[in-house]
Parts: sequence; C-alpha cells; structure tokens
Amino acid sequence: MEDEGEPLAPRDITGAAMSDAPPIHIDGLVKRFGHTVALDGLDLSVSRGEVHGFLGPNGAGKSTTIRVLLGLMRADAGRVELFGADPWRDAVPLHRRLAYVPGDVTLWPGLSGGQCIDVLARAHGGIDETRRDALIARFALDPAKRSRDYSKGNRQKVSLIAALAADVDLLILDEPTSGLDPLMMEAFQSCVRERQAAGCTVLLSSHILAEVEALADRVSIIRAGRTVTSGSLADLRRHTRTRVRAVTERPPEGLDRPGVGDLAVGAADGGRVDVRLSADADAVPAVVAALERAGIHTLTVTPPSLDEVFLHTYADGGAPAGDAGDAGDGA
Amino acid sequence: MSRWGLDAMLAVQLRTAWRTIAGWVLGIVAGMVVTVTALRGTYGTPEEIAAYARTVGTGPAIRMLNGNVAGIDSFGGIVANEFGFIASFALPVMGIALVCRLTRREEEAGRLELLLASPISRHAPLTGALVITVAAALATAAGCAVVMIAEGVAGRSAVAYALAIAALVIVFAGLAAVAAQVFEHTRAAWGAALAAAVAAYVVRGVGAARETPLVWASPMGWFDEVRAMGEPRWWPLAISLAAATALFATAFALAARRDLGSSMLPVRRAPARASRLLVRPFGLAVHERRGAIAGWAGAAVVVMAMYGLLARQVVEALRDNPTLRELRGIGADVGVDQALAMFALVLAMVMSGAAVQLAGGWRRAEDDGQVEIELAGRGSRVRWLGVQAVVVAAGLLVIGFAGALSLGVSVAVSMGDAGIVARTLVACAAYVPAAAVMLGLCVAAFGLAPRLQTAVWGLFAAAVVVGYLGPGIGLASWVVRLSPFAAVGKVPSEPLARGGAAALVAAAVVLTAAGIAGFRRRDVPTG
Ligand SMILES: Nc1ncnc2c1ncn2[C@@H]1O[C@H](COP(=O)(O)OP(=O)(O)OP(=O)(O)O)[C@@H](O)[C@H]1O
Ligand SMILES: [Mg+2]
Repeated sequence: MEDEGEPLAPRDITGAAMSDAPPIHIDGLVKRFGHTVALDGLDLSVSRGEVHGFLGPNGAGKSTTIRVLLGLMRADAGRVELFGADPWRDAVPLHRRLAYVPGDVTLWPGLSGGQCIDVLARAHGGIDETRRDALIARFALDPAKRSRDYSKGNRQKVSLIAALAADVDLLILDEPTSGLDPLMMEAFQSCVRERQAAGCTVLLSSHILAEVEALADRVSIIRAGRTVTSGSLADLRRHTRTRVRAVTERPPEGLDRPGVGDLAVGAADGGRVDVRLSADADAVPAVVAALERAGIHTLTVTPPSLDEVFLHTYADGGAPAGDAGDAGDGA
Repeated sequence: MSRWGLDAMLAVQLRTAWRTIAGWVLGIVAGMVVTVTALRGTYGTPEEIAAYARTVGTGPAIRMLNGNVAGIDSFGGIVANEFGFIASFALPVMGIALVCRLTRREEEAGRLELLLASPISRHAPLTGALVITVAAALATAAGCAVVMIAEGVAGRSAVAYALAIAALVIVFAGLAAVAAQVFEHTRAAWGAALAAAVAAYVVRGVGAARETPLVWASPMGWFDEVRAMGEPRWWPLAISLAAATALFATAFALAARRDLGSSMLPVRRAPARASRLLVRPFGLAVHERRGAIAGWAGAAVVVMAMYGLLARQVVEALRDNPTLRELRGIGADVGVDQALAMFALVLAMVMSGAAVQLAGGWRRAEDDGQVEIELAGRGSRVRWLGVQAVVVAAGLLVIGFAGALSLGVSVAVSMGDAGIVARTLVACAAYVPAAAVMLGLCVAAFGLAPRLQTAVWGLFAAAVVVGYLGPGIGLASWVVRLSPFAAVGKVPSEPLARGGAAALVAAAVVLTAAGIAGFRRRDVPTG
C-alpha cells in the first residue's frame, strides 16, 4: 500500500494543465520477467485524436506494453505517461478516461452477456445506455445468453460493446477483432471511425493488416521488445520498394543506378526485351524515364502492399532506411 | 470509497460469488443446528450432562481430536466438544475458500484484467475479499449464536464461542490472502493454505492432548483458549485479530508491489520436450494430479503420525471412559484396536476428501478446454475417463498407504509393539471401499450431471457428519450405516462387515460404469 500515493482526483488529470499532454508517451520502456527481457527500450507516442496501429510479430511485447500502460504491470525502466500522468500511480483516475478490450476475453461464466456488459459498465462508472443498446443491435449480440454458452467471437463482442459504449478519451484495443467474422469486422471498423470522429484516441494492436490499413493514421512496428519503426502508412510505403516489370523495344540504359535493385534483363517474344526490377520510391520516376527511352511495349508498376511492408520489417527487423526507428538487433 | 472503485468491486464480487458465500454461511450454521438439536435430545437433563462431563471430560484422546474444550460440564460445553472436530476443518477451509475464490481465481482466469483496467484500484479485489470474508464470518457467527442461545446455551458463552468461530475463519482468510499473492495458481495457493491448516491442527492436537503451552502456537489453540463455555475470556480473540491484521497487511504490501497475474515466485523454465511418459494419456493424467496427490499424502502422514504417537494415551482414556466408548460406538473391550478403528476412520475421510478434490480437476479441465483437445485425439471417451479414474484411484491408494504406514509405525512406537504395523495396514485396507464409493460418485456426477459435480462435496460433508458424529448425537443406527464410513464396520475392533463392504464395492462399480456410460453420451463441453 505504501507504494501507492494518494490517487489524484479526476480534475487533476483532466484539468487544463494536463489536457495538452499526449494520450500516450513511452520512452525507453524496459520490462523483464525473470531472465526474459520482454520490452527492451520501447518507444511509442500517440497523439490526440489519432488511430494508432500497434504491430509486431508474436511475442514482440504488444500486450505487455498495453498492460504497463494500464498500470497492470510495472515498468522496470523508462518513462511511461498516459495523459501526462504515471499509469501505475494514478491508475484509478486515469482509467476513468479510457476503456480496454483484451485479446483474450474471459467473462463470468454464470452471467449473461448483457449482465457482463452491465458489470463492466458499473466497474467503469457508467456507460452511454443508448449507445449500449445500439451497439448490441449492431453487433447482433444475444444479450440474454449465458456467457459460458457464447462462441469466442460473441465473448469478444461483449467486451467490445462495453468498451465502445463508454464515454472515454482513449480506447486501448489488444487484437480486438480476433474471432470476429468479416461482417462484424466491418461493424467494428465503422464504430471505431465514429469514436474517432467524436474525438477519441485509439491504440489498436492487431495482426490483421487490412484492418490497420483501413483504420490507422499512424503505425508503430515493434520487434523483440523494441520499436523498429513508426510513422504514417504513406511513410512506411515510401521505404519499401516498388516492383516494376516492363517489355521494351530496345535494351534500356541507365537502370544501373542507386535505388534500383533485383535488375533482371531477358529476351521476350518478337526480339523485345523483358525487364524486371525493384525500385525505391524516389527512383521510380528515373526508372520510368529510362524505360520510356527504350520504347515501352508494356509496363506494370506494383506499389508495395502493406503485407510486404510488414513481412519485410517482421522478418529481418530492418527498418526502412531513414525513418525514426532504429534497426532491431535481431536478438 | 468509490474513488477506489471498492463499491464497484464489491458489487461484482457479490454478484458473481453470492452462491458460494451463502453456501458456506448456511452450511456451517446448518452443521451447528444439527449438532445442537441432536445433542439436546441426548443430553436433556443435568444428570446426563454431568455424566458426559465426568466421562468424556478431559480425556487426551478427545482433546487431541476436538481441542481442549472448557466448561464441558455444561450443555454448551458438550456442543463445543462435538462441534470441535468439524470446526477445526470447516472454519479454516471456509476462510481459505472465500479468499481464493474472490482473489487469485479471478486473477488467474483473467477477469481481473478487465476490471482493473476500469477505475478500480489494484487494492480493491483484496479489500473486497477482506470485507466479504469478515462479513460472512460474522454472519456465520451470528447464526451459530442464535442457534445456541435458542437451545439454551448461556448468552455470554454463545457469543464468545461465535466470535471465536469468526476469528478462526478470519485468521485463515488472512493466511490465504498471503498465499494468493505468493502463488500464481489458485491450486497452489489452496494447497499452501490447507497445509498450514493441517499443521495448525496437528500442533493444537499435540498441545491439547498433553496440555502444554504448545496450543498457543496454533490459531485453533486461540480458538479453544477463549474458553467460551467455561468462563469466557476475550483477550485470545485479540491474538487472532492481531494475527489476521498482520497477515492481511502483508498481503496488501505484496499485492502493491507485483504485476497483475504474476506471483512472488520467480518465473521458472520448463522442459522443452515431453518425456515418453507424458505423451501418453496415462502419463499426462499422472502429471496433472501428482502435486495434489503428494499434498494429500503428506497431510495424511502428518495427521496419522500425530494420532499414532498419542495412541497410548488414547487407549488409556478409552479404558477409563464408558461414555466416550458409547459416543464413538465402541464396545466395552477396549484395546488398541478400538483406537485404530477411530484413526482408520479419519484416514478414510481424508482419502474420500482427496477423491472429491482430485476428481474436481476433470471439470476444471473441461472448462479450460483441455478435455476437448484430448478427446479430439485418437483415444475414445471411455478410455479418457477410465484413465483419469484409474489415476485418481491409484492416487487414493498412495495416500491411504502413506497414511496407514505412518499410523502403523507411530502406533507401534507409542505402544512399543512392532506387530501393530501389519495389523494397521490390514485395518486401513478395509476402509478402501468407502473411498471407492466416493470416487464412483464423482465419476457418475462427471458423466451424468456435470453441473452438479460440486454437490458431491455436500454428500461428502453429510457422510462425514453422519459417520463421525452420528453415534454421538443419537442418530438411528440404520442412518449411520448409510454413511460409507460406517458401512464397513469398525475394523479392526469388529470384524469387517462383509455385506456392507460388498455393497460399497458394488455401488462404486455401478456408479463408475454409469458415469462412463453417461460421459459417452453427453456433450463436451457441457457448460
Ligand atoms: N507474465 C509473464 N511472465 C513471463 N513472461 C512473459 C509474461 N508475459 C509476457 N511474457 C513474455 O514477454 C514477451 C512479450 O509477450 P507479449 O504477450 O507482450 O507479446 P505480444 O506482442 O502481445 O504477442 P502476440 O502477438 O502473440 O499477442 C514474450 O516473450 C512473452 O513470453
Ligand atoms: Mg498479445
């Protein structure tokens, strides 16, 4: 008990002095479990009103980061601030401003889904009743079923509805759609957009890239407990190579330049030339110009898919050059 | 209060656990009602009470089992003495059960993660458990006091006894609160707290039998030293209160330091590969139950050693004491065999309790989804439940053998007669059918009515009350014989009741077969 200072009254945290503070600011967070180093100097910054995608391979430390942010676990080192306050010390007043959906939802088996939502709402100190009912309808949840009889997706919905119906400034969602069908994922996405429009900030941890692509303004990718990269989706795309395939009349010249890789030139039908390469975003105009000079017969330019962005970062931990992220050490 | 979210936490705890809470309060008050009303019939007149006092009085045997009860020359004293054995186990277990249920179990299940992400302080679950357990203990105390006063126990004595009941519950609640911080799994917290309860019982038993200050080392000794039915003393209650306060303060201090879901013990690594044994259904089942089996065996060894080492005093007390013999339904020709029969009966109760607890693991495995995974493999359902039942049965034999050996050796030491060891083993073997029938009940419940599996604990409690107290509180002998513990007869002081034993074995077989048949047909999981 002695560790816990007197909890701040809500106004201390919602007050003017704190209102400028970013919803989430993490700097050099370290968390160890015995000899396992789960978080190894992680950075994460989420500004007001954005939906922030939080990505990383299994075991990267996403859930651990979220638990530290919720004051459920204690940081071993580093600075962690939620609305400018310490999430461990000020857990109770901070939690009035946020709602959380865990990846693995366990409910009270004897209570119905509707009862579980009410219990969670009560714990939260009240939710918007109209929104609660609207969400139940939207997610097609049968609230009169005992929660032990629910399917996995329906248990997830209970927790989602309780969180989305709460009037909060910050939503922390840890793989919130695991187990939801595509229709429900759509419903989830539109709900999140509505909450964002109402001024809510969202931290969204997810493995579903399409979902992140559809919702997130910015993303942070972590690996082995460290932030690998962080930025807008457009930024990330810029750092991955565009694939170019062309058939030209003559062998192209001037392709052997910085920013171009995987260059393969072969013969095509009718004495034409088959050219394949990948190019950095900056090099694409020059490449296209060079191909143009060689007389383009056909040309396909494929921008990097998000999947490629992530596969690239997950697999070798290489940060796309130049961005805020430092390269993972691959430990 | 609401700033810490305690009211919200209490609301959740009460809403989800009220059945368990009410069950404990009503169960213990009901035990008191049965004891008091039955004794009222047997000990109605001052002469009868005086006879009980003269004879049962202060024998070391009864002190060892029930504690040193003051004021045995009053009706209240008789109640306290007869209730003492049940109080020694049921009250600590109530405190442990409520605190584990309200704290570590919810944390282990992951439900606290959802709640503590709301404006609820990390101290709220433990504070709520403390508030609820104290309230439940006081409600139990109030109920018991009312029952005792209604049947003519002096008001002051009844209140003192009731407060001692509450204090005993609360001390073990505090112990469980600490265990729930130290251990990551509910099962381990339970095991540690129960081991402490057994140790406290043994220490009190030895201290009370020999009338040494050792009793002060046990919370159950503080319970007795209130001397409610004699001249009540209030200050031993303060010792309990101080101990409980210290324990809860420790628990809060530990809880404030740790991560949710973690324990105070370091994270351990486990083998990366399963051994050849572990990949078989049998090996897996053994692996799942071996910790609990070892715990029960340890408890049986310790309790039986205590009984055995005091055997000489027990035998001497029985020789001098016709009423005690009558109470325990023992014939006039008192010897070591009569004492052995009493001890073997307690060992049979330990084995049966172990059966119900070990079989409870099947239901948890089903809730956790393990059963589905195992049944999705090549093995059939019959084979799965059969293997589980065999493993538990083997575990019961291990527990029984360990307890019997401990009893035999310690009785032999106490009486100075090595020949007793073999006789003890044979005698204890006669009670195996009683434990088998309990296991059969568990298999039947699991297969046929899985939702009722916890109700088997109620049957167990009824069998214990009827088997242990039945003769003393004047139940008809046919009712007593219904208890599996009495059905085999009082071996070795009487010959084995072959009919009774055969009936038990037959019942165990039928129940097991019915349970397995039911399991083949029912849904898995049945919520
Ligand atoms: N309570 C704990 N005790 C020990 N190690 C832990 C604990 N919790 C997490 N870890 C370890 O910390 C690391 C990060 O785990 P975490 O659950 O945060 O990963 P994650 O990014 O959420 O992964 P996933 O995508 O699979 O959910 C892992 O190596 C994990 O084994
Ligand atoms: Mg995770």
